[in-house]
Amino acid sequence: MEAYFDLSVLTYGAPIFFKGALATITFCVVATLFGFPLGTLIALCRFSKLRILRGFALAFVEPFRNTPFLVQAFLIYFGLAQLGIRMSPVVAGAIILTIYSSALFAEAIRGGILSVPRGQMESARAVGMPYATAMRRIVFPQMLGYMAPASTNVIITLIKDSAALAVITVPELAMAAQTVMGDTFRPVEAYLIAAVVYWLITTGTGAGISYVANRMDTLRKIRLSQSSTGRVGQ
Amino acid sequence: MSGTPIVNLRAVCKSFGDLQVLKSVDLQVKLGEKICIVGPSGSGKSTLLRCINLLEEPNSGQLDVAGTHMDFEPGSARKFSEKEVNRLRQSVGMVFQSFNLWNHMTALQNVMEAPIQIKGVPKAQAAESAQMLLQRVGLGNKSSSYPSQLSGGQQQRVAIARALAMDPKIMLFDEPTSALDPELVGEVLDVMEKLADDGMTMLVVTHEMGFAVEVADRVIFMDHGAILEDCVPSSFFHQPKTERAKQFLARLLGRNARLQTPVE
Repeated sequence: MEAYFDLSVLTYGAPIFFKGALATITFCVVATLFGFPLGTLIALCRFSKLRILRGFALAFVEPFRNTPFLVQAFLIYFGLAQLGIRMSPVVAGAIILTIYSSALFAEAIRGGILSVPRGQMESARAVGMPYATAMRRIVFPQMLGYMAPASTNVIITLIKDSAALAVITVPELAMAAQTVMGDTFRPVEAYLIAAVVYWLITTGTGAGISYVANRMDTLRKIRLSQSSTGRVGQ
Repeated sequence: MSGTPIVNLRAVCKSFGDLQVLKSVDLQVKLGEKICIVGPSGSGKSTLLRCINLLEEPNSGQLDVAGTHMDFEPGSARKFSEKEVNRLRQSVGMVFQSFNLWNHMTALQNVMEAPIQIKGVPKAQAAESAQMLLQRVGLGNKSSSYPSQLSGGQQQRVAIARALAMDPKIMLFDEPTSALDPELVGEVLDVMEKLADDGMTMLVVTHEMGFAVEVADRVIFMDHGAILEDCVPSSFFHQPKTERAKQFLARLLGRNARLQTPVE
């Protein structure tokens, strides 16, 4: 029984973990930057008058939301390879995580759009604004205010689930833990360090988003107006 | 200025599922007319108003609003484009019961937004007209306030200014004072009265009978999706023709009598 923490794993693994953490952060930033606009499009499809678009959006979102990311990563990477589409693990990982993130964001954005009071859209349409203008000028700016907590959830989910990319040999943080374990034969130390680093990244991200959210002008205004909804009535 | 019909509805029907809300409604509004629509809740007043600017699409009937003609046939696809709908709406201002000011914009921005986005009015010019409109509704000093910083009555007055910014030919008011604290009702009615004096064509769904008596050229009484009476205010309030109008007025006046406020 060795009930002590072998510090040498930390000194040995530090550069590997550092690189892994950077990769994890990069993957998640890319998946967020591309996934958010994609998710917006999908969310808009869910509100479309066209049944085909609504159906497409639902058919896209549901499988990604309801199956483990690990399984999705496996299926997409090896499935594509079997069809003759070969990509480097890094490119594949970025694409898979982006698709996953767009499905998660689509749901968060749908919720955000739904939480903007219906009258906001109605009064915009009533003055003759086209749907797209009303969405862009009236609904979206307010939606962002309502969906900060949901976005935080999505991004934290991305950070945690991106660990599964290790199965397709993407060199990220979970892979770093695997490498260090292999080199040092100290699994507990390796994964404990990875856990702490993940925890730092997720809590840091959460704090960062709420910091930005609290300072965003739009949000301040919406919070102000929420305090008065009681007066507005039905 | 009066005489030309600006709104003409013929046999307009509207159902929500199995519930028929409008049963073949005919209505003509001439330019400059002020009409109050009254009736018990659920009688189709708001739906009628919302059909005029197509926030609700009639199931059947014909509609002429500010020069746009539209036919609705049950079961057939709509024959008009989104563009036509938007164009129609630009000449029809609407004021909602719950104001629906855009929460993330100041009073001034609320009033400027539509002219800039829809008509392409330059920002400086839009701001100038918006400021004048705010002054017209008595809120020239509130231009940089957000809706949440305004009282209900102030919000509703900004909403009126916002609708006026598009220079509409007709204004629809959907129970504009129903969500207000009683002491704030007067300021909104005052603005509406001034608007009427300026010659605006107005269609007002309201429970404010005093306003109807003072401002309206015609009072329309609706019940169960049909127009039962359409006449000048004095004959509606003093000699209602239908039993249901009598009952409606009796309930309303009875309540006011209990409060010892003489009606009219």
